[in-house]
Amino acid sequence: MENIALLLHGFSIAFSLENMAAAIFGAVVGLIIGAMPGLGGITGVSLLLPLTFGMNPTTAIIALAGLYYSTMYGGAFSAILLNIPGDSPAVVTSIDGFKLTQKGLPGKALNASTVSSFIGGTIGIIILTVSGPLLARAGLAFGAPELALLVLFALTSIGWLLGDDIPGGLLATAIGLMFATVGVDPALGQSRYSFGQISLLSGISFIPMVVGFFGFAQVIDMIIAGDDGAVATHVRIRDCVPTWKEIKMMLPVSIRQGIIGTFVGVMPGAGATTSAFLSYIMEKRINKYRDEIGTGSMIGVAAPESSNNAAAAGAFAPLLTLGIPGGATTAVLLGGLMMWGLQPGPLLFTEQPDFVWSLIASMYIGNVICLVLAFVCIPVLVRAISVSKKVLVPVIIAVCVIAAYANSYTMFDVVLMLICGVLGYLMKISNIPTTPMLLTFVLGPMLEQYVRQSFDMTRGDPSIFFRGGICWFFIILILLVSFSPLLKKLYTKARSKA
Amino acid sequence: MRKMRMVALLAAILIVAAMPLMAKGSAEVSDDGTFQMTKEARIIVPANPGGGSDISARMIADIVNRNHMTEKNFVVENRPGGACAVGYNYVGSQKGDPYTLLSLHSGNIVVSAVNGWEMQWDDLTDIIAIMAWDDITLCVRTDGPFETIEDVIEYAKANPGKLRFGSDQRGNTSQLGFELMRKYIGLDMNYVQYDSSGDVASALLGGHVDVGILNPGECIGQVRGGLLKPVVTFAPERISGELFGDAPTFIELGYPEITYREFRGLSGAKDMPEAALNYYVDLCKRITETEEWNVNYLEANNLQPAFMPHEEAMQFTADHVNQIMQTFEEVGYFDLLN
Amino acid sequence: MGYVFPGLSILVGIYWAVKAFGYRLWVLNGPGGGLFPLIAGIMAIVFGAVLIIRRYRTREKADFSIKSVLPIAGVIGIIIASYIIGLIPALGVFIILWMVIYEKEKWGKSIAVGVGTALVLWLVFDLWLAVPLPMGVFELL
Repeated sequence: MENIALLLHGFSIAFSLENMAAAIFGAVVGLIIGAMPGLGGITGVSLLLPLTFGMNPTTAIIALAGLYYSTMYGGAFSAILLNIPGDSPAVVTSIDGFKLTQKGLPGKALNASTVSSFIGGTIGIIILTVSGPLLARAGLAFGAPELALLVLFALTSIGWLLGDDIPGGLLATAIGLMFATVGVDPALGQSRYSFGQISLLSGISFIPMVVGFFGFAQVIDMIIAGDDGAVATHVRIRDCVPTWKEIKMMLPVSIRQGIIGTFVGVMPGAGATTSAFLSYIMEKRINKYRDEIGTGSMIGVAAPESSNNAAAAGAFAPLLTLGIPGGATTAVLLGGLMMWGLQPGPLLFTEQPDFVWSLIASMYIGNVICLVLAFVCIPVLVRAISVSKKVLVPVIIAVCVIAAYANSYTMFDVVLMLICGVLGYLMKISNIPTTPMLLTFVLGPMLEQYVRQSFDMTRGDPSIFFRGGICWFFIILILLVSFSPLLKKLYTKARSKA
Repeated sequence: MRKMRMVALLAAILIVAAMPLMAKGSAEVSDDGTFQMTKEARIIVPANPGGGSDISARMIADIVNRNHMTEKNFVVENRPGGACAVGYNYVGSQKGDPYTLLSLHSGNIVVSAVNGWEMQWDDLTDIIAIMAWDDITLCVRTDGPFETIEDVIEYAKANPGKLRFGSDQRGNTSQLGFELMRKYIGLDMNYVQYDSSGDVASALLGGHVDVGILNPGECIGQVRGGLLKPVVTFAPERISGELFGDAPTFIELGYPEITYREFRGLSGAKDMPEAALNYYVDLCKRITETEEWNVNYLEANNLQPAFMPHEEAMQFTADHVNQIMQTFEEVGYFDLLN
Repeated sequence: MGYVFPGLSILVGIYWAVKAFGYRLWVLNGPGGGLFPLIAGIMAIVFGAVLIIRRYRTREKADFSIKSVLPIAGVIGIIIASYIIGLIPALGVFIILWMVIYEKEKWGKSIAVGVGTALVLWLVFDLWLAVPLPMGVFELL
């Protein structure tokens, strides 16, 4: 109950004119940055953090936190409309989202993503409010072996994403893993496969790569397709509004994935991408409408969007209660706290209650602002996508180039984008799916590092992977996933006999 | 049609009008050999905003601009990528330019040497001045089995190959601390490597490692909150302040060889005019004397005051790099590569 | 064309796998920097081969079109031009030329879209986000 009183106090601060302006500013900027192909949460926070230097810390964090999760809303826009995810969590959203756009239902996809983002985000913030410190403590129980098994579990379930073309999907997985191994090796700290390029010393940058594989390859495809129409034709505003049946379908998914996403977001390093991915494959497995997922289903959009927004909120728990970052973007925010003269750590809650609680209060408000803003934008965006391809194609090419360049201000990243675009196009004409590739690219290095750390801890004794309840839980899940086709076969055989 | 032509015309006018704004000044060294800034100087940060190098660069720029210490302003530009290679090589490409500066951190220099870059730190940059020590401590969990460094040493000696030492990726400055402890105390510990100090702190708090190597600025919040405790420092003298002051140095413990410190400061593009270099050395000296620097930066981030001008700093850095390369050579690190 | 990607994958996979041994498979009691690349390389070789065999059997054709070279040439042109006239003008000029030459649009509309996009990109990236962009000759002015 004490938390509620503190939260109300936080609301009273967050509702000040200055802080409301900051929240709205952050949300608007975040939505624009998120919607720009190739620009996501970490870029947005990095680019705007310097501007808040010297601001009042409460106002500054309210603006940046608003920006952080509104990029999550915006990131889904370019993923759904153009098949260009702005950051890694949106990769999963683009699978079903862009298929809906191609079906002429971009509005429905955008609405599904917005509403479920709101639900997931709000659930995450409620959990954060009620049990922030406890949650962060629970996250600490996940050491390298537990995290290795979690990531391995996510990777083994890639099978569900491959569809009919198993060898093609596995080839894509292999390519993703090869790309992922460029950069610093986790055993000796040396650069691998850098081909003498300084830009590759610490690995292939995600943004130019994703802009190439998704955006640029998409453009090539649009040119080949050749018709003069728009990406999505016959778009009616009427089709944007979800039906009652669709709401009933998505609501339990959003709530369920919101809760799980929050917990995944708390784990050190796991973050929004893992949670988005896990939520998608979980629904693909258990949902009543699972057969539709992957062909352009609103559930396929709602699950990852709810989950990644919840994870974004969950990542604040270790940041605020322990002073340790839960992911890449919160690491930048942690630097921000220090710049504003605050000391992140367990005393933040007691020493700076105004700061912490007005931040949490502002997250509730920011979520509402994002929801309203997104609803205002959707009809405009749906119109924009109806623009003729003659205009859209060269403009998207220009945006792909500058988004790749802005990653690290080098032409190398533009060249990288171009190479990935060509590879993406070759994969497309060979009917090889790109999604498994991007997911192994994100998860592969995590697995490699966690495995290395586990062996480091025990000096090569693999028994560490069986060290406790959490480990066994994931081992059983992995075994179930791996042998589920076999079990299913046995089960149907047994039933047909009976 | 008319509307569109108007837009085009307007754009053309805008571009032409903006041209003088893009004009560039040239380096001005007057006849009496003094240097005056005729355009903005950029401090390149070879990392993303929010990190240690970024904070120090912004602090320097802020102090210079706010106190009008130079003719023209300082601006900060982040060029992350390739660990720090993209930023360093960019500065290297601006050879001789007195307006391209770099946020100096000794860790980056070590990376360039250990990873055997084609162009080393001293081919790409000249150090203007070392301006702060960023000391290193070994921390333990307060609710863990260890209270002092003696406990740690005793346990590690009694149980070889058991104590988990949480640290940065191999090939970094942090590995030097590990190797020195192994060599001079004879400790057989397990080196567990993490991506960032935040991950080290997190693993330490969760009990997944027994000790963690951290800068005071990286763990001060947890130390104040009573979750972590510094048990020893690698600096030659104790770190000031009550939170870290109780941690002894290795010299006090009788291991004078286990001493090294990281440092921060300002570098510039290689071979800038000597007058410019002297100008910036003097500027750095004046910055380190300001109250803002000492209170808002050093104290707030738990750094120790330092000032070492160009030549002395270059020599000191070269020695630091040598110490690391020699130690890594001795322990056979380079033999493991290829 | 259907053989290009799997074939490329096999070649890159071989390179990756061979190079992996140099990065060590097992080092200091744990997986070395070469273990994951080796797994990835072998996977690429195996599944690349499976795809080639399958493609050969089914005579499945990939619909490659020469038009796909156009945007690639466009980006290469932009990269070169950005060193001469700067990145933002290069992007604007590219849009105008693309629309006029390839899409056979009217000059007026093309210039409006090109200049408009360039202006927006300039506002966002240069003025607002302060991204240091290549300026080409404008840097010398």
